[in-house]
Amino acid sequence: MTLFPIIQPRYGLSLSARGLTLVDLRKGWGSSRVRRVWTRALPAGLVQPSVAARSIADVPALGQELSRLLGERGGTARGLPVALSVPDLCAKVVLFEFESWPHKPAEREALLRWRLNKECLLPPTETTLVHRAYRVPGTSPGTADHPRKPAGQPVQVLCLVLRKDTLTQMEEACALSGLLPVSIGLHSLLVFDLCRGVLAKATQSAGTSRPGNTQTMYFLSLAEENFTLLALREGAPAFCRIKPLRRKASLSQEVLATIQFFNDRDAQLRPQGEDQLRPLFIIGDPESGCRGEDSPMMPEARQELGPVRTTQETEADSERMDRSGFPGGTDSSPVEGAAGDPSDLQPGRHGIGDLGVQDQPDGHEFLPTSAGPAHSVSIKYLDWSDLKVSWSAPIPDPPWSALPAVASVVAGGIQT
Amino acid sequence: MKIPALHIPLGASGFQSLRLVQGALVCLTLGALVFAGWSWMKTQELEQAARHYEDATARVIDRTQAFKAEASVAGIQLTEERLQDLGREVSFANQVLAKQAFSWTRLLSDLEEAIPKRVSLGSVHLNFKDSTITLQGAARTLQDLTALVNELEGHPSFRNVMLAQHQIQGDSTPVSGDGGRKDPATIVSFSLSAAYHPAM
Repeated sequence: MTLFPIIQPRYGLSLSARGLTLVDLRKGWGSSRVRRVWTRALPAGLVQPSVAARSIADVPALGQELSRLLGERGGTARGLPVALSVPDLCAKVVLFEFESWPHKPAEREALLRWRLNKECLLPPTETTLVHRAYRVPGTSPGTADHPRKPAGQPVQVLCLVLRKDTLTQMEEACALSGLLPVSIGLHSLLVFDLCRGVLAKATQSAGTSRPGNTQTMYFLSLAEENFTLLALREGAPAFCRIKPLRRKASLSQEVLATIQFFNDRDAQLRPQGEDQLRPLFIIGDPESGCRGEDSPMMPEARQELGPVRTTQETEADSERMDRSGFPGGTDSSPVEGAAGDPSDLQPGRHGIGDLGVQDQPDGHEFLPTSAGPAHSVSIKYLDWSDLKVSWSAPIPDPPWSALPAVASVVAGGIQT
Repeated sequence: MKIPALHIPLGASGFQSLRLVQGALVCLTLGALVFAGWSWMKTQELEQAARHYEDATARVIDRTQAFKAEASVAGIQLTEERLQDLGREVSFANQVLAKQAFSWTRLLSDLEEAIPKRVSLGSVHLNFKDSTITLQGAARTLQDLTALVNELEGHPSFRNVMLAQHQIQGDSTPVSGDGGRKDPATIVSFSLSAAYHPAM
């Protein structure tokens, strides 16, 4: 019997089509320390993240796999509180803008469901709908969800929809193995929240050195089966797209197309946008989608996001960081040419890659758009060290697959 | 630029409430544990005091047993029946002592002080057991009887005066009034009791 079962979780569990990852993490003042990581590969087809269909083919089998994973941990798992990270592809994330936002939660949900139905975004089954509202940049300060905020002001609503039975299946699998999922979140959003500190620091220092340059920023989260691109404008989410890594598709081209789509739409909606340098933060496995012998992404991704245009961290790098405000110092220094030697690769220190950018005379990377003003993008790969997550001695090479599980503990947990 | 939080909890929303309830239960449990500890300490103190009394009781019992043994050796029985008889004998002895110490002169003197005119006493009965006296006599009128009761109540040696009975009786002898007119006379016979505690 667990004496106090409802506590902030120390264990984070992430689920993907390829496997399970369990982390034991201790949160400290301003930093976190991962003590252990356990991974277990899953049989093909057991977990197939999807919004349209059930994501778990066999719940008891997944429960057994979880039990085996917990068996490696040792000790009893009965009633063990855990923060669960759900694959991005299980959910549909949509951003809506409303001119007025009702006070009553029931009216809000009804409005969102109407909008989702109207735009045919709801799966034809019972769904769980959660949302979070943000003020539209330029309106009065305060969170849109705040009760003191008067109705009638435009809000941006981040809406998350997933099948109810998917959540039920995951909770059942956890229950079969004795786990108590006290917190459940979506991979990319958890990872984003994990990175909030470093993003704020980077944009703050950039704003100090280059006023007006941090109006819009991008955040790219690379997962095993998908990537998620988020755009933020003046402290509010402006764009979110989760895209699966398709066969015979170029990851970099997909990312480029997504950024371009946002730029085009943004230019139409806000033609007064200024020419600026937009930071793009990338986190996740640079070899995302490359695992597995049958993965068609493997060679391409290695070429496109892997051994390309790497830069070594030097003292000059630090100076550039100070000058630009962004760690990595990519704002005013030309990106190095393509690295011919794979040994030059260091995780998190990659350059622009071949995201379709063109070097400009002033040294910025230039991302061409079909409409509106041109924008330059500075890229920064975030590393574990940026996240203030340290690892215990037995883990020499921290796996990126543990990122969602770590994020679920650090950024998730029981909401207060 | 302020970076907003994007994570939206997907799980059940009641965990925070459960956590609060759990916290309250933890506080309750801790409070109960503290109270149990405090009660245990108090129990120890009480047990120590009780042990003290038990020891004293045991000593008294031992001494009683020894006294009984000595009395038995001396030929004195200290059985329950004997103790009951002893109580009665002590009571009788006290009564005898009280009778011997009682001053009839004092009683009569006190009565003389308390009894008004036109009241006569037929008998005075003294009960030594409960220190009460019973007076029987006659008064000329009801006012005289009332005056007697009041005088007794006001006297420091008498308390709880209670008129047990009174009876108005006619007198065949006519009484001459002031104008030479003869009225039939009546007397009031009475019986009353009062507690008697001679003033020191």
